[in-house]
Amino acid sequence: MKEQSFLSPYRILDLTDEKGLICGKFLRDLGAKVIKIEKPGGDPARNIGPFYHDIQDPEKSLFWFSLNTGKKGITLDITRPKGKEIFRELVKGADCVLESFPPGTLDGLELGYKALCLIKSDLIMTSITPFGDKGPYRDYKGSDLILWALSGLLFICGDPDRPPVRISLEQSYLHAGADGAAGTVMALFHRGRSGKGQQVQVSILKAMERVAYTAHILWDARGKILRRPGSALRIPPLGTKTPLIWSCKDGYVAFYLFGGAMGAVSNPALTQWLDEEGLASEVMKAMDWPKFDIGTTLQEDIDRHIVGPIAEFFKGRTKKELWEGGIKRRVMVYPVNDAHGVLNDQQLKERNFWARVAHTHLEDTLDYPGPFIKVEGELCQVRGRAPLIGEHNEEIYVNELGLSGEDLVRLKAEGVI
Amino acid sequence: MNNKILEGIRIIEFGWAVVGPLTTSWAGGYGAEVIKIETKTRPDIIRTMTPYKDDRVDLDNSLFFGRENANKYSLALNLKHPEGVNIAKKLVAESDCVLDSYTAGVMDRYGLGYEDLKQVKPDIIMLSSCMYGQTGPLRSMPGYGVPLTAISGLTYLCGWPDRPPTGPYGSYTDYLVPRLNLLALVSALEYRRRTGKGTFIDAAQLEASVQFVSPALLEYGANQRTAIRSGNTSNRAAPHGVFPCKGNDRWCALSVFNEEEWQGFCEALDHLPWTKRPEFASLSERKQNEGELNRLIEEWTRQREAEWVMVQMQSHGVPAGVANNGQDLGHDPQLTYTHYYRRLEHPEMGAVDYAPHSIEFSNAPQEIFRSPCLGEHTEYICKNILGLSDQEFKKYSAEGVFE
Repeated sequence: MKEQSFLSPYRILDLTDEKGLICGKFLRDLGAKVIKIEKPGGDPARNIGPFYHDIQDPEKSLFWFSLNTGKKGITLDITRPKGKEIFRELVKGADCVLESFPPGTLDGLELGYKALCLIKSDLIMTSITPFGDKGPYRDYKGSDLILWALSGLLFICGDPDRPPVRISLEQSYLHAGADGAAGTVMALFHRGRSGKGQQVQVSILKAMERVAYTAHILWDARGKILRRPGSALRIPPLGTKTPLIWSCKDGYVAFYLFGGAMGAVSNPALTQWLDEEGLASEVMKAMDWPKFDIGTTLQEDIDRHIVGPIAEFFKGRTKKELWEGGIKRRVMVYPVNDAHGVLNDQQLKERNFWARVAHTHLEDTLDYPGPFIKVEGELCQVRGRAPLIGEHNEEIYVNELGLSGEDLVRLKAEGVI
Repeated sequence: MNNKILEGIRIIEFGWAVVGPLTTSWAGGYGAEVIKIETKTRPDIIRTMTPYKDDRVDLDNSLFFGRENANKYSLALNLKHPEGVNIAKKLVAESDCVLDSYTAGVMDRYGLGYEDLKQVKPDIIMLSSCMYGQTGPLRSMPGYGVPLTAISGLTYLCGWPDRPPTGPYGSYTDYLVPRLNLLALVSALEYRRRTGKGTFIDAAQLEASVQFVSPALLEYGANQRTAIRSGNTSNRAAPHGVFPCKGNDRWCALSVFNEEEWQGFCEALDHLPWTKRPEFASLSERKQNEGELNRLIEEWTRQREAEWVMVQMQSHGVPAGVANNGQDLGHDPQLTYTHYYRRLEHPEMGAVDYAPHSIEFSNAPQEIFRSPCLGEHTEYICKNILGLSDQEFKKYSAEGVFE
């Protein structure tokens, strides 16, 4: 058989909630067949907004749409005896199970890893949990905000005069979901070489600790606490601050005044640009930029001679002017995009990035982010819309498991599917 | 054999800053042999970035470099010297994967593009990770995490609605993209295992990053509405915020999504009279009166230690967590229990903590070894992997191939 995708031969059962949905989505992009198993009536994550045309309906959640592209969808209550039996049948024909229940839940249902290995000895099971399956916080409740907090990331984000602040769109589950997908593929690779299955655990706390930069290292090795700097970075030894986000005529731009080699990419060209407008200071014009060291320059000198003139220059121009001028001169000044800005990014358009996905029941077509990598042919692609509730019950239960139409009616009446 | 997940896989890294180096560092933790290529004349930029151990500025003393470059070997190789490029090719011939995170076109200019490398190793897997991708009008535009976070739409969504965006700390996408790069790399290895075919992976950092704002992009497309930053609030929960506690800059995060958690919350506060007020009776009412609710909670948390608030809330089934700072992380009971930080001796930095990655395998423990000094393994690699003689090695050294 011709293999057209990275993960063509694999079949994955996805039991996750919002903590793991993107894990199955990425595996589907890579070509695995992913079957999303929902409670009868639909997964609770279908109630998370935003909603299509603001209609609060489990079939119209844009959140759900975005994290389930290309999956098959079936309903099954795995807490009922008959549901467990059917789930075990499904496991026989599957390579991996993805789950994000509180630790111990599947064991309590007699569907834990060891129990499932008795029916499929080389099974891979990937579990995404807030804190892992051991330790004092094992049974603690997590949420995106709680995981930002405990990971150390929250503490360094935000303005110094306000509480620490997160990104307003849940992120921690996405980091962990991507790790879960990588872990699943590594386990598949390992199984391909050794014949052995594996349990894969992803702790969302640990996934987020990696995002918290050098917060711990700085304490460990230098006894210093990294604090939230607002939209600016503080550089030792003097702790000099320079902004990251600057106001412009119609919004904000991101520009970081690096010192040293990195700064030499942008700073000389920016100086010249300012000079053309009569805004460059004498200090900027005379600066040997590769030797410029922010951390040993006094704050008032930086503010007066460098940050001040640049801020004034940015204020007088639009995002578009600064961006286009920056591209031409290789000055790394970039727009702070909102959704509209992202969707209109010139390069993403030129690379045919956006995936147009038809939603026949809505009689509409929506633009989705395309595949996370560009590779030949169909190796990695967005493969259609998210499933409706129980959309593939017949396909999976009747055509693949060999249940009869009558069985299906009975199971529905019993609330199993 | 095959005890570690990626055992027997060799990766050559032409990495730069965080995204490329962190991708391979993680792969190294799962057993891949990673060889990092850089030179003293053009070292990985992150070696020149703070913080440095004891503020001593030295290419081998950056804590930032160390944290993101565990689990690899360093080969100093001058790619501007023709023999340097030859050696790189010989190494690629003995390897499985090549990763570069230079601006698009740089590897081609060295004569080390995918087409060149395929000549020496037909089934090579190459992943090129630059900001905007290998094609398109902006392919050679330089970038790094801060502007990438901005153009991805993430910066705009972090901060307070009444203020300009603060954005998340630093180069947020630098910690998002490597996860997807690792996923791509191992997927290509798995594909090669079955089919024998190598792959070129054009991993645009922007295209990976916008996966993380997908709901907001669909919202704009479907409803023509632009999502904006909303501090720490959530449409689905109230209270949902970060509250000041006893002490200087101490905070505890709380989130209450449903009725059960609200009941637990009220119990944790010992049913203070205000918890019974009708304007807090349901989620929609709490959302409507969130300002007042937050003020009352703050009054209560201010009198208490953040750790105490967390434990009190969690013991009543309420999601809560201390906003750990760098010092707290070292004492965090959960991280400590799992021996998360690994203290390793580095010849220049002394004993420093390294952090492993978040994926754990039941049959293949993740191991960590310290980050390399620049060129630390040049001689070993040249002699043991490439089979150069003493004489050849000396000759090339004298010619400046390994600078």
